[in-house]
Amino acid sequence: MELAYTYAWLIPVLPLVAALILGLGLISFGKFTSQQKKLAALLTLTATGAGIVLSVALLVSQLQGHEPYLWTFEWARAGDFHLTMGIVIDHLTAMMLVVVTTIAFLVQIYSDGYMAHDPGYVRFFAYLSLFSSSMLGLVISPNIVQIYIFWELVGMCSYLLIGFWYDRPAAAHACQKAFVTNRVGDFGLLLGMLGLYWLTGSFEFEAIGEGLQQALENGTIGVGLATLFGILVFMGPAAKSAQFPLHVWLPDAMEGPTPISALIHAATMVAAGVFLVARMFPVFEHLPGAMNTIAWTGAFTAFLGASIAITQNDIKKGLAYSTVSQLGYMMMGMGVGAYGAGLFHLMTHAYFKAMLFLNSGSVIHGMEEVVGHDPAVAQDMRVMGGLRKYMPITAATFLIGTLAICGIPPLAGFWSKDEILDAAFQANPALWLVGWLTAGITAFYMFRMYFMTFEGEFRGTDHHLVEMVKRENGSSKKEGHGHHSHKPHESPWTMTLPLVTLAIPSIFIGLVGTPFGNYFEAFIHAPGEAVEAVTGFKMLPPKELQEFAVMAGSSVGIALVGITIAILTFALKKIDPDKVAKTIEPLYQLSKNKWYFDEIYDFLFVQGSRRLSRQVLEVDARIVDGVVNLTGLITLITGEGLKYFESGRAQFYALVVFIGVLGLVVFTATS
Amino acid sequence: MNFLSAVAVLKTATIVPELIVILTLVVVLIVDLVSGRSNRSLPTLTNLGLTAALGAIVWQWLHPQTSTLAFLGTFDSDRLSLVFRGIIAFSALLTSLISERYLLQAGVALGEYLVILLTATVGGMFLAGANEMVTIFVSLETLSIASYLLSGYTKRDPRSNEAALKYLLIGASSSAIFLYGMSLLYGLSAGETNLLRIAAAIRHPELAVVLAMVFIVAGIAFKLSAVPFHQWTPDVYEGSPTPVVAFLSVGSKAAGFALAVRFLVTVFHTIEPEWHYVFVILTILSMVLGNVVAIAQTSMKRMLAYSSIGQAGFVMLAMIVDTEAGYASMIFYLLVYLFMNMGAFACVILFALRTGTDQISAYSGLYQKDPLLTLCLSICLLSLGGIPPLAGFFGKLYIFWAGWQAGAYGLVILGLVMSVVSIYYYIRVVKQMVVKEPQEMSEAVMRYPQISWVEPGMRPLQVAMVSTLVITSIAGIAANPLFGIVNDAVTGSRFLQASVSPPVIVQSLP
Repeated sequence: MELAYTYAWLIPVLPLVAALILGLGLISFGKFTSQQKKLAALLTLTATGAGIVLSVALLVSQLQGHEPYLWTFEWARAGDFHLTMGIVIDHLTAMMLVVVTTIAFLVQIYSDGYMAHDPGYVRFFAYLSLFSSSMLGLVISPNIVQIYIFWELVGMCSYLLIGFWYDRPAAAHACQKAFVTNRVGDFGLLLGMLGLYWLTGSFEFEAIGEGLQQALENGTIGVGLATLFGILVFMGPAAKSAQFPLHVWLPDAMEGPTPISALIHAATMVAAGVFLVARMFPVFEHLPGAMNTIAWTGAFTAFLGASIAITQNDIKKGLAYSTVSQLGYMMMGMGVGAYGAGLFHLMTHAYFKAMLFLNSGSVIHGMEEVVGHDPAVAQDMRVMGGLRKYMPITAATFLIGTLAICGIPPLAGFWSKDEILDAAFQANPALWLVGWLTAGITAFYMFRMYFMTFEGEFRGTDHHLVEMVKRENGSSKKEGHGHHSHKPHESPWTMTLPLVTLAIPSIFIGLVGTPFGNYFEAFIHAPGEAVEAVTGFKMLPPKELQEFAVMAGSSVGIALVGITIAILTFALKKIDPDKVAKTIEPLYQLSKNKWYFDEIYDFLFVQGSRRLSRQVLEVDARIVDGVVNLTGLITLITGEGLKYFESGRAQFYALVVFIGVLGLVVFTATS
Repeated sequence: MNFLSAVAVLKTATIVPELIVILTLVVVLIVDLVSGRSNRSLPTLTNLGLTAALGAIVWQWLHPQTSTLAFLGTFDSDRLSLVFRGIIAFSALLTSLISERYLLQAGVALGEYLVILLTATVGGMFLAGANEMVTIFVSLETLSIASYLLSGYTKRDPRSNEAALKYLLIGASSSAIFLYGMSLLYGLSAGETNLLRIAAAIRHPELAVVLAMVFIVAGIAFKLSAVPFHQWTPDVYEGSPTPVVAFLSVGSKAAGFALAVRFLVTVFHTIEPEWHYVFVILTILSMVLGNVVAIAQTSMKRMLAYSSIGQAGFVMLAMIVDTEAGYASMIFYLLVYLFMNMGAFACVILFALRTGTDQISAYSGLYQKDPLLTLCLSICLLSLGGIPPLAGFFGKLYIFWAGWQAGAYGLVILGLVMSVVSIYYYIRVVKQMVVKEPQEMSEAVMRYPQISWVEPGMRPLQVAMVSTLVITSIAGIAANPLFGIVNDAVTGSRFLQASVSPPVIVQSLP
């Protein structure tokens, strides 16, 4: 097992090598490389596969109680300032490594099918490898500086991949929006990071926590200042994990290819925020103010996301808002101190949400057969329906994912969500109430999605409906080419295999963290927290069992209510959704328009900064440019003028040499 | 005294690297003579010899001697001289790599060229360690005369002839001035030629010492092409064969800096304010004139000539700071300058080989025809301009930081402004190369030949290009080994330790 630690550095390096080979190939021999699809996929899969082997070995070793492994080297040093880089393998890292490598591996298999006909196939795999490498580098980082570096790298990969189809204006805008929004958060993160360094003189998580605790006890720093830095640090995770008010980029990020939505914008990168909060837990636990902020931000985001997801018609946007909402749950768990629960939900969510996104990709792939390669139509649930008949595997796995996210026992989502809600109830019943209501909404919108997509009659051949949807979504693509058939088809095995594979953890992974034997929490718990070892499944004491029954019962109950309403509305058509929408028109519009966040931000920040920039531009054009042009002019004139001293006559040059010597003598002697 | 004991007394082991170069030189000469014109192994021999010399330098670095003075005190093989000898040998190696194809295409003989290049290298390497005036002058002239010959090597090209003649004339004048300065020192110290003894003999600062100092600085400034002793530079750079220019701008300059540091610090520490003052003037003039005039150039080689004047200004800035950090930053910058400047010249040579021109306007749209060349040239130019995270950025940062620490605020600010100016003309070339519109493509690029690396001599050029590209890209980010080397070089050289005051502990960048 020691061997696995010795070679742990290979986990991020192998995908990097793959990315480099593909990238350099594309730069130097573009045409040739972009035709080597199978080789590119093989290379990428080999690199990630080796990563899985190593990660699993590390996880097993950590499970057997191996000491956390730390290997560092000095990167820069100035006086007493040391900056180290390296690798840390502890329980949290080992779990994240397995989650990231397995999902990345499955997504790469899936991409082979999904991107088969895309001319940018090899470029896609190069980016994908680069992302895997950055994400793996992030999880093994032993200090916050290294995390920050990889944090930016995953952000860059996300930018590249959202804008993968850069010739689509929507994608080009979306990737810029994601980038800019993340910059806001990262700026806060950087400030907070430097502030904490200033307070404690360290970039290591534990050391910052200890330094902060001591400083707070000695009274050398105020709690307010420390909390401010804590909240600034939290801005980074808030942006990356799409928390209110920086959540706006994630739904737009769905313009990227669907495998990317599954890997980056559902399972791994967006979870990096939660991961960072977990890593910074030794710091946050001393700052109740920051913890409360995190908890309430999470709770509000959970509700916000769910309330918007109800009315989305784009299948990927709906799932995106669902992701926002679920990330809110995780943050809420972190904020109330339920470290293990938050990360447990991160893991379960990673599996079932990756599967749901891959499902949506499969659906879109099937729909494109009928309505053509137009994302405005192919992703709209109003033209789907009845797909279960044509795509049985996709439908079955989607249903599993839906049940998992709704929190129906014994699927994965139930255990983790219940644990978070339990912790929230103990911390503050108001938080629990928000989370509980959200659980009901989640069940409703997920089943709405399932029914609209897979049940009922297939509506994709209804030309009037398709035209209407096109108009509404502002698509200008002409109908007529690209669709060859009148019914969708099941996706190839490369796409369904990952779906089926992901369904297994979606069903069973929750069982490692049941209250009857919480192996997960025994393995992953906050540093310093005492957790007794788990020996096997055992019955809870009656009091706790009763508590568990009440909590679980209530959340399953509200989920069932949500599901029932969804069935009544979309399966049995007992309730007319349009009529309901009419009666609560303002609320409907609020949800449909995503709480008008885009419009508010557009008015406040975009237009505001445009006005400001126009004024600055005036100043710049008149005054600064004047000065700059003047300097440039002077420089050019002197340049042109001095050029003529270069007459090319050797006598003159020699003369200048002697004059120079003379001048220097005179100057030096007289000074 | 028999031969072996003479070897031991003189500590001949200290000049093993030079001996290897001389041996290579002789072997190349003989092989060229015996096997005739068509022999293709000569560059390989040269490269092997220079690599071996570098290996010997590394070996000496790893096995430091307690007493570094050799040849009865005329040659000092301390760590500083080792670093400089390494830089010179490395620049010769890179020059030899980028020369072969150029010379083959120019249709001139390879053998003599390599012999003269190796001679210049030997001269430069001895100069870097010379501790005695006669040795200094002989090595300096070995380097200079070999350089004159090299710059006139393409003898059918009138511009090359002109360059050689000009270089010779101005070089002779400055050598005369240098020699005059040394003769003054000889007299003032009552007949000493060893630098340490001269320093001991001239304890009293007087006008004659200042005069000697100015003359010697003038002589050295010619090698550094510091303004106002720079006038030969553009003409010579433009006319000489491009690989020679690459060597002159790196190897020859490094030798000049080694000489300047050793001579000034050892001999003139009693009149430290004066020699600082002279160098401040040279620095300001070089930074301003070099960078400003470079803007107005239309030929790539002339632009690089002026840019090298400006770059020398930055290095001189590090030198006159006269602290440990200053010298360390100076060596660090020279190390990265070696790679980025050589890389830029390798690209210019390749472009000239493929298109036959070196006008800046001819580079328009190169990206679409030759991405590798564009990438390499862009990285090298951006690094010269000091764009992070390339090596040049860290080099400049280190220099300015050292200057700021030592309180040279005015110079540092001027240096910053001038590096911004320099970014302008470097980026202009990069911008030209990456223009998108096909109609903006220059004639030369439109007729760009199919990229091929199979012609004889192309592989070495490619190796030189790619290796400098890689080093320029990563040397800044992974700079700790280099910092270790430069700090050891400064702390391991006795004459610097005696002079710098007060010792500032500097390990790396802030």
